[in-house]
Amino acid sequence: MSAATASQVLKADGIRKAYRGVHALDGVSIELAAGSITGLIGPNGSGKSTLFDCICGFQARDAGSVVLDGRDLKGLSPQRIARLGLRRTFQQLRVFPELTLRQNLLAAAQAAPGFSYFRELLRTPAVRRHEREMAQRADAMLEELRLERLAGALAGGLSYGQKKLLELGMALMNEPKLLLLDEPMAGVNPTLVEGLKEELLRVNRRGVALLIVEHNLKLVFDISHSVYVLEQGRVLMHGSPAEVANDERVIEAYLGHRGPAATEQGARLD
Amino acid sequence: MTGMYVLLAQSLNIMLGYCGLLSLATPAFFGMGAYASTLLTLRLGWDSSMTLACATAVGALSGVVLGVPSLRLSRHSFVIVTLSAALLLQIVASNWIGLTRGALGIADIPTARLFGIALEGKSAWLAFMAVLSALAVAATWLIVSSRLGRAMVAVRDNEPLAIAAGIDPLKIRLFAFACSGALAGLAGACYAHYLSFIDPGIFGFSISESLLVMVILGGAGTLWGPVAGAVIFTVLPEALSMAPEVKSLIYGVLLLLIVLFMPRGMARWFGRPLAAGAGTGK
Repeated sequence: MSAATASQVLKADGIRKAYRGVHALDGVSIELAAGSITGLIGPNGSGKSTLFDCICGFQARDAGSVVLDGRDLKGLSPQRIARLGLRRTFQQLRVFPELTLRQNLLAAAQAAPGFSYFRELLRTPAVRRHEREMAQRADAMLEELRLERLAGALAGGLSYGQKKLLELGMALMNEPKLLLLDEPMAGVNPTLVEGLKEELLRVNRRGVALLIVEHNLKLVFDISHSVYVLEQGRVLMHGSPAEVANDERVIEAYLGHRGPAATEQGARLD
Repeated sequence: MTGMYVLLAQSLNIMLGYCGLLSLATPAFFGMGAYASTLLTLRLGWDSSMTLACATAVGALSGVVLGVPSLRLSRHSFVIVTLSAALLLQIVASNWIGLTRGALGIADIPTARLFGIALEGKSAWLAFMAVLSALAVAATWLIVSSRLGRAMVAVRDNEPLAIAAGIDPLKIRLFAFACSGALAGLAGACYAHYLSFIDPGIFGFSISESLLVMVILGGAGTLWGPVAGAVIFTVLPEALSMAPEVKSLIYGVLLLLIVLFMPRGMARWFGRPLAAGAGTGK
């Protein structure tokens, strides 16, 4: 691995995706530095979620390449990509409702190396040891998220905010290199935003790079090292939060699509 | 017969309860196992320890062969394909007269002979099937309480999230389908040697109907629910000496009522069901 790729956790180049002739993504290129926090903003329908899907392999790209930590992801299944250390959350909150919290975390850490059906069934010592380690890690994670009291409860019964925390914990179980967060603050009670933000910063300090799609621009500008702006399937601009927040084109893009309220939010950020 | 239904109920339970997929292929695996063991016994004179093992393997293999194309489909299409597979095999069994004697069926199948000891009489069979059922329940427990069982439930609960967590839905379902096939194949072999007669009718839908009543009323996705269902619904009709037509009618109505009014089955009455991955779940 060369020095250039070592400091770069993800490089997506010329991503294209069209639905029935409509370009959802029209040659999008982004680069993420290892251990960085990157914001991805843009009006609704600008292609943010599609870009996520194309990077993670949930949707096939029409063109373009994605390289994760020096490794080309071409042709890999989404589950394979997840095992390589690229995890994601979904815009629509997802947990396993009929598993307990602990089992949710364990299920999220399933994909261990050397996985064999027979060894699993026979419960070889290696399997038992692995399960014990994972259970410990799950318990530590629950404690970190302050959900340890609910370890044995079914995830379906959690509050929305608790599910959000659990989802984040699940994405972190296997220590990913890069985590894509699709609107982590959507639907979260304003009083909890601060807490979740601290959580994200703590995750980042552990060395996990974050790519965040979020409509709460204040938060994005607050925690990101750099910000990409998408508009109509193209990168409108890329720069530091301050540069992006004060850019005429960005303000205009938001004005055109989201009305004055959003502009206010976008324009008055420092 | 009760023991045989315990095997079959767990076969369906793994698919319906833990994977959330309605599989009507259990009679297909059942029939494959029955014919495999019968033909190996009659044509090659193998010991039943071998033919039962082969029937289990044939069931598992059928699961893989049928699963590779069908498990990629939507849930609804999967139901249709599994039903069609059973009916297709019935047609094959009826028409491949050289191998199966067609609709005449195969009679005078010798009773199971394990390592030289023949299972003679009802009590010997009862003991044998009790052991086999216990083993089947133990095997099911091994599967569903392992990481694999947890993966099955994860895929059932939320497939995109399971994929995002690195689980391969096709592989895990294929594994479940193979296990389902193995249990049904073994049950089929026992059936053939116990009744000493099989015909293409064993591929029919009526087995699926009985099984659905047993599994859903007992509690799909629980370990003991289907066992209870299997015991109740084999003992009860015999005790009441119901005609098969009446039984089929009653089961049909019952199935409708259960699905409408108590989709979680009887297991709900006995506290929380044993969830998958309970081995580490606490």
